[in-house]
Amino acid sequence: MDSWGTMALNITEYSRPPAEIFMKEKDLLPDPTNLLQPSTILQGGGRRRKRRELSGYCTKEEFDALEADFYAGTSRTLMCDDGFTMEARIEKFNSASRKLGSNYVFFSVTFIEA
Amino acid sequence: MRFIPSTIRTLLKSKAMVGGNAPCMEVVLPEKTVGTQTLPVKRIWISREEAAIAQRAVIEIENVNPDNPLDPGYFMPYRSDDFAGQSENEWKFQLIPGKRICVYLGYGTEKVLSFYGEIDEASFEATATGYTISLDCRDLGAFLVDNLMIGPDPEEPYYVAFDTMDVSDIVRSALVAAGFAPDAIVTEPSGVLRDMEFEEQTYADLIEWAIDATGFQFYISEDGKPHFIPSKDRYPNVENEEHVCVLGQEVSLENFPVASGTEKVKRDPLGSVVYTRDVDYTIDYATGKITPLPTGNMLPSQTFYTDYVFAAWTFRHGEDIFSLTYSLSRRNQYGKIIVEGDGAEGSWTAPESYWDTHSIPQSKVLRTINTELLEDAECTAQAIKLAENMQRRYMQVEFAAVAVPWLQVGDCIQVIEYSSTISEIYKIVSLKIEYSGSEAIMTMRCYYFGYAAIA
Repeated sequence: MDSWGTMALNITEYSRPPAEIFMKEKDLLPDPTNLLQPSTILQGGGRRRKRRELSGYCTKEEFDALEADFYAGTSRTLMCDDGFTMEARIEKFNSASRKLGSNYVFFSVTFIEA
Repeated sequence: MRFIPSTIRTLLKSKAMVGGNAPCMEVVLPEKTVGTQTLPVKRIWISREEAAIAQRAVIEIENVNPDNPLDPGYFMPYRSDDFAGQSENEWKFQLIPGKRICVYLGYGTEKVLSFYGEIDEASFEATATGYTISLDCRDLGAFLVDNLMIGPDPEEPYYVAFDTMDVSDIVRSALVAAGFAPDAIVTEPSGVLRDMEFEEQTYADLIEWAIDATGFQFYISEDGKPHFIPSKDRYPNVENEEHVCVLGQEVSLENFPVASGTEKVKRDPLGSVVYTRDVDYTIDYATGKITPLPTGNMLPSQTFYTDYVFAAWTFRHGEDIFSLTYSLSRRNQYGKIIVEGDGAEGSWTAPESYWDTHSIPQSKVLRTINTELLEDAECTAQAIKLAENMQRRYMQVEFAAVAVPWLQVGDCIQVIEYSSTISEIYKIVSLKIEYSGSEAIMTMRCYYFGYAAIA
């Protein structure tokens, strides 16, 4: 079950891009006698923070709570139903819409590793 | 020259310093007593110049609580609970001018002390997108540059006199007076005896005078120790490396490439018999192999001794050079050098033309005055020495490469690059190292030292 802290998330779409790693490729002066080998250097280590992009829906009241967490930078445990868990903050809302007559908000949100 | 671990030698030629072998950097405050947190360093620049007494480093630090991205200003020295949500922490009064700083640079888990100095200026920048501390530091040479020497007489506090003694001893006592620990000071006897008076002059002025009087060099090493030693001592050089002679069978020197013509192959450590190249032995400079010739005078089954200068590192196209500028310049070349001493004079005159046909007219004269020199022969010797240094600077190379933080100003290196056709041994006169989490680059300016073969 997908959840944000104690709040259940009704997820309809789940995107799990791998975290970006720090790596730079720098051009070397080539060895003209050995042009078949790469003429670059790779340097770098470490990674950026993990992210999860989730699309789903929740009640207007639940969305108010999500939005409050977003503005406060609150970190909570994000659990996804594929077993993935991380302490996370809400980085951004990609979309959030509520139809006339409905109490549900359909949203897309990006969580970032806390 | 500092020992470069073999694992690093292999790594830096692998073209991939990533993951667990990525560039690594650490900034430590050695006087800080509480050490539960490390500084989140973003970028480090270190600049070392042969001619500068004080060397410089600039360190950029992310000024945000590493455990809470919503807590900026975490490393501020004046942080307190005056602002809601802030509280005093272990960084109180730490990142301020005068605090000692150590910088370690390397790859993976192998790091080397690359700078030891003090904070000169701390800047705290806040923008809408981030918070950064910039620490502008100089090594302990800053004290020598900034401060006047103080003498014992309160009536004339800035008057200092030295009785006749070896100039190295004068330098040593001045360095002790400047605050360096006696066992951290490295000097060698110069054999030059002088008495000297200084009035309202800095420690750096005294050192400049001592360099002129002896021809020695002065530098403060990366670990903060001042050195006043003969110039030759900073080459990577070996003295009395021992090998057993088997006629016709090559032996491998422990270090290579060897600078052409620098080897001395001797029968005993004192060099009472020095063997002749191509008569008694042959040498392959690129691979450091010596072969005693059966037709020569070397003694079979006996130990022989070798001195030589070698390149601490070989930078090569396709392996570790990013960009390179090779310069031939007559700008600081002279046709005649005249050294005036105290009642003495000596000179050196350039050949009519050099090996590449360039020439400098003898009417282009450099005249220097060194009142420490009392004999014509001393003046001539100094003129010849100036000429040697000048001629080497005709050919210079400046290049950017994969950082090797173990290298030091004064080290000899080999540079091989196809388009410029260079493959010689060069001596480093300036080093600029730039480190971040994802790159480690070193820019060097070097002058020609000697020929070396391409391996």
